[in-house]
Amino acid sequence: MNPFRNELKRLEKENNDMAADIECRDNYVAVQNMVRYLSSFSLSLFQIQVIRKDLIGMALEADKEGLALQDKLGVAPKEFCNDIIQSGESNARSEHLLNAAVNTIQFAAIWLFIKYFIFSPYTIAWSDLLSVFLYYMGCNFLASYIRNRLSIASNPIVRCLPYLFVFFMFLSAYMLSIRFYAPINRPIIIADGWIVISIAAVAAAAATMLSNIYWHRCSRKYTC
Amino acid sequence: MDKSQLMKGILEGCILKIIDKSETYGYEIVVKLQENGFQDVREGTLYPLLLRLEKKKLISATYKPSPLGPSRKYYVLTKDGKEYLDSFHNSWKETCISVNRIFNEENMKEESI
Repeated sequence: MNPFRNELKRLEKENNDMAADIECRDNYVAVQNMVRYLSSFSLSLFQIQVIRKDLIGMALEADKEGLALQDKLGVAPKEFCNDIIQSGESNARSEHLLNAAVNTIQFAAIWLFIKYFIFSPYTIAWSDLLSVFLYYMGCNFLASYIRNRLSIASNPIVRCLPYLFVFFMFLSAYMLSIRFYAPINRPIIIADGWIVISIAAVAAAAATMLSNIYWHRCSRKYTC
Repeated sequence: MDKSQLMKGILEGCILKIIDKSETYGYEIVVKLQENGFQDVREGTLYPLLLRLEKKKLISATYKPSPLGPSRKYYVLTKDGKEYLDSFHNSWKETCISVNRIFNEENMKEESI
């Protein structure tokens, strides 16, 4: 097991690559709509990717047989999805929380690192907590929403855009707040920058590895 | 009559029996079910059932490369699956006897009248 490898992201990428091979546009859209519908319920995030993999496989077979995916399934997509929802695992809430926590810790480490090199001497101020909190909100709601919309884009730069967008948006908010609202810069902790950065980096690495271990277990459970 | 609920339970048992015979994949299971009279079964009916059986840990799945295209998901029966299949078969035989007895009684009464 490689603790630095995120199996969920690996499966997502594999699915994106496979989906690009679907020739029939209607079948491609049908898979996409079904996965979006399934994602709006509390199915496990990993299981949704496993189901997506199976649906893409069926769509590719339907392509070869010259059929529409719905004809191959033999049932209406909504009925098919509702049957899956009843049969699937419901872990989405805890998995979303896990992702949000890991993303926030990673962002806090990167943020503190950047801040140390731009604004020396080192302090942790209320503005840092605010920016991490705002990033948390942005990452969960804004970035994930845009990312879902762009998840079918084959260009990796396009897929990174939501993160860059959120990052620059909050960098701008931070710069404006320290320029126009002084109390927000009141320090909470004044410490040696390298110690704080090291602690943040270790916390980020540990959170990343723990989440990777979780996704690895899911990958073993679903054998993919 | 809405056969769907009645069929789901029966289909689960039949799917387990097909998987018990040899490691197999979705489309092959559909074909075998259709060959044996379950004409209405399609891949869209089968997939959620397989998912449910996997969730109950009665079957396990592995992806294997297919010469014809994307990798296929092959299913095998687990130890729990074998036990479940035995108990399903026994329950089915008992149910069959009871149902037949009731229907035969009805027939005999009708004939005597």
